[in-house]
Amino acid sequence: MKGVIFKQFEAFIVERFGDQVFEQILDRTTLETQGPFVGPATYPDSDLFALVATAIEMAGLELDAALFAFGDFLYERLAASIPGIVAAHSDVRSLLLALDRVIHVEVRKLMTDAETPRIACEETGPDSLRVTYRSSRKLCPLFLGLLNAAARSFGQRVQHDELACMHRGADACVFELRFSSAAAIAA
Amino acid sequence: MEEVEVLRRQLERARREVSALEQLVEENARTLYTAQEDQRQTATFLMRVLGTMSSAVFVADSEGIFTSVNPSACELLHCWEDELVGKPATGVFCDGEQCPDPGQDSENIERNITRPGGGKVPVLFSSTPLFGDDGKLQSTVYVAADLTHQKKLEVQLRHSQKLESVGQLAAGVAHEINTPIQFVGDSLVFLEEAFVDLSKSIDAGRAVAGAARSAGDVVAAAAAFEAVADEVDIEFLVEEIPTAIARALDGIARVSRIVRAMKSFAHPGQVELAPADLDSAIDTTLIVARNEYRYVADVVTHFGGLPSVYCNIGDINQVVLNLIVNAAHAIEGKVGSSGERGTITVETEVRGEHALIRVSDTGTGIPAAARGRVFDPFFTTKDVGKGTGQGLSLAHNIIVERHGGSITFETVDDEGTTFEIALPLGRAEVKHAA
Repeated sequence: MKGVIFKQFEAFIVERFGDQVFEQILDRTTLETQGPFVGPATYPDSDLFALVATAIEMAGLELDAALFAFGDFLYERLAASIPGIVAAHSDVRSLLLALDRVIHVEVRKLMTDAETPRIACEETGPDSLRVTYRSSRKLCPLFLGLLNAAARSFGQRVQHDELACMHRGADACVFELRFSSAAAIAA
Repeated sequence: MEEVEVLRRQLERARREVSALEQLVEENARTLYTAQEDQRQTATFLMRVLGTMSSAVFVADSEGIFTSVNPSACELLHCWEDELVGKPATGVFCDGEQCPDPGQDSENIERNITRPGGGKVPVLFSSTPLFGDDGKLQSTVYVAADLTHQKKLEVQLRHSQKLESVGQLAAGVAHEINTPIQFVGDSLVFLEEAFVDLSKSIDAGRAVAGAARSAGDVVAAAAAFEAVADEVDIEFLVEEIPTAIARALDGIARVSRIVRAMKSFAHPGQVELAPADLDSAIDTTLIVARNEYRYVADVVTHFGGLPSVYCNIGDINQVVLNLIVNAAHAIEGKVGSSGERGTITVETEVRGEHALIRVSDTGTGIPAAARGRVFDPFFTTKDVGKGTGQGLSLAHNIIVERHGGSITFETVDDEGTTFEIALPLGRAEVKHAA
C-alpha cells in the first residue's frame, strides 16, 4: 500500500477524532514498519489493516462503516492529486468508465509500484452501470465510500445494489449502480 | 496524553519523515540517474544496431517530418543527415503522385524514392506506423532496401534467359537456314556449269564474227556455232539461268531474313520501356520459332495494326516465343505421329486502352488440375528436358509486374488453349520501369 494512503488515514483520524487518538492508535498497534509513513514509499498492507483494526476497536465502529467513511474522506484528496484527469469528467458515470483505462493508468505512471484495483464497467442504461470490483485487498466498502464522495462532488447521488461480494465467496464484487442528479433528488 | 507530549511526538515523527523523504529523494535520484544512463546506453546501442543495418531506416513524426535516419539512409540518398532530418518525408517517398500513407502498414512494395539532390533510386519499401496509448499516430518507421544492384541483375538474368532461348532455338534456326542454303548451292552449281557451256557458245560466236570480218568461211563457222549451241542446249540455259539466279537470290534473302530475325531477337535491347512495333516484333519471333512448330502446325496471323506500344520489346518477344513454343508442344501432344497438323493463331488488336496479343492453339488444352498453377515458378506438365516451368512464370512477371498489364487464358480439354496478353497503351499505366 502506498504511503499516501497511510498519510490520508492519519489525516482522517486526526480530523474525526483528534491528534491524541491517532497517537494512541499508533501506541496500541504493532506495525511491521519501523519508522514514519511517507507518501511516495510503499508499506505492507497489513500495517494499514492493523491501524484500521485498532481504530475501529477504539471508536467502537463497524469495519465496513469505517472503511466507507475513510473512502468518502479519501476521494477529494486523491482527486486533487490528478486534477486534470478528474476535471475532464462531468459526472460520476463517465469517471467510472474511465477509471481502469485512463485514471489507474495515470496512477501507475506516477507510482510505478502502485497496485490499483481492477474495475470493469458494463453500461446497462443511460443512468446506470454494472461495476465489477476486483482487488486482493477486498476493500469494497472503501470503494463505495469513494464512489459516494465522487457522486457528491459532481452534484449527483448514486444508489447501489450489491449483486456479489468477495467477502461472501464471490471472485469479484458486483454492483448495479443508478445515478441521479441532486436537482432530480430535490424535486 | 498531554497536548505537549502529542506535539513532541508529532515533531519527532515529522523529523523522521523528513529524513525518510530525504533518503527517498536520494534513492529516487539515483534510480532516475541509473534509468537515464540505461536509457542512454540503450539508445546508443539501438543507434549502433541501426547503423549496422544495410537497409535505410527513416523515422518520421506524426506530421510526417523526419526525426532520425540511419547512416544507410544517407548513403542510399547520397546526402547528409541534416539534409533529411527536419524535412518532410513526402519529398523522399512520393513517387509521382503516389505517396505512402503514414498511418498505413505496408510491406515490401517496390517503388522509386527521390534523392534530395535529384535522381531516383529503386527500393523495396516498408512502412510501420507507431501509435500511442491514446491510439493517435506517434511516428512512422520507413525501411528501404536498395534494389539498384538487384535491378541490374534482373536485367542480366532476363538477357541470359533470352540467350538460353536463342541457344535452344539454334539447332532449329540452323535447319531453317540449311534449306535455302542448299538450293542456293544447287543454283550456283548449275550456274557454274552453265557458265562453262555459255563460254563455249561465246567462243563459237566469236569465231563466226571473226570469219565474217576476215571474209573467211562464215557458213562453216556458223554451222560450228550452231553445233555448239545444240550441244550446250543454249535455249535451256537462256531459260533456266535467270530462274537459277532468282532462286539463289531468294535463298539468300531467306537466310538474311532469318539471321536478321535472330539478331533482332537476341539483341539485349533497351532497359527502359520504349515505344515499339509489336506486330513486327511478333512476326520476327514467329520466324525464329518456325522450326519449333513447322512439323506439327500451321501459323495463321491476324495483325490488327497496333500503334506503338510502350514496352520492353525484348521481354515481349520472350513471352510470345514461350507462348508459341507451348502452343506447338500442346499440338504435338495431341497429333503425335499421326501426320495431322494443328493451327496456331496469333492475333493482335486494340481494345480500349490496351493492346491485345492472343496466341491460340488447337492442342490438348491445359489439364484442369494444372490450371491454377500455370503461372507458378517451376511448375510444368512437360516431360523432363522439354520445359523447366519458368516460361509462364516469367511471362506473368514480365506482363503484370513490369508492364502493368495482364495475362489470362481460356482452355478446353482436347480442343486447345488461348492466352491473351493485355498491355497498357499509355505510359501512365506502366507500374514499373525496368
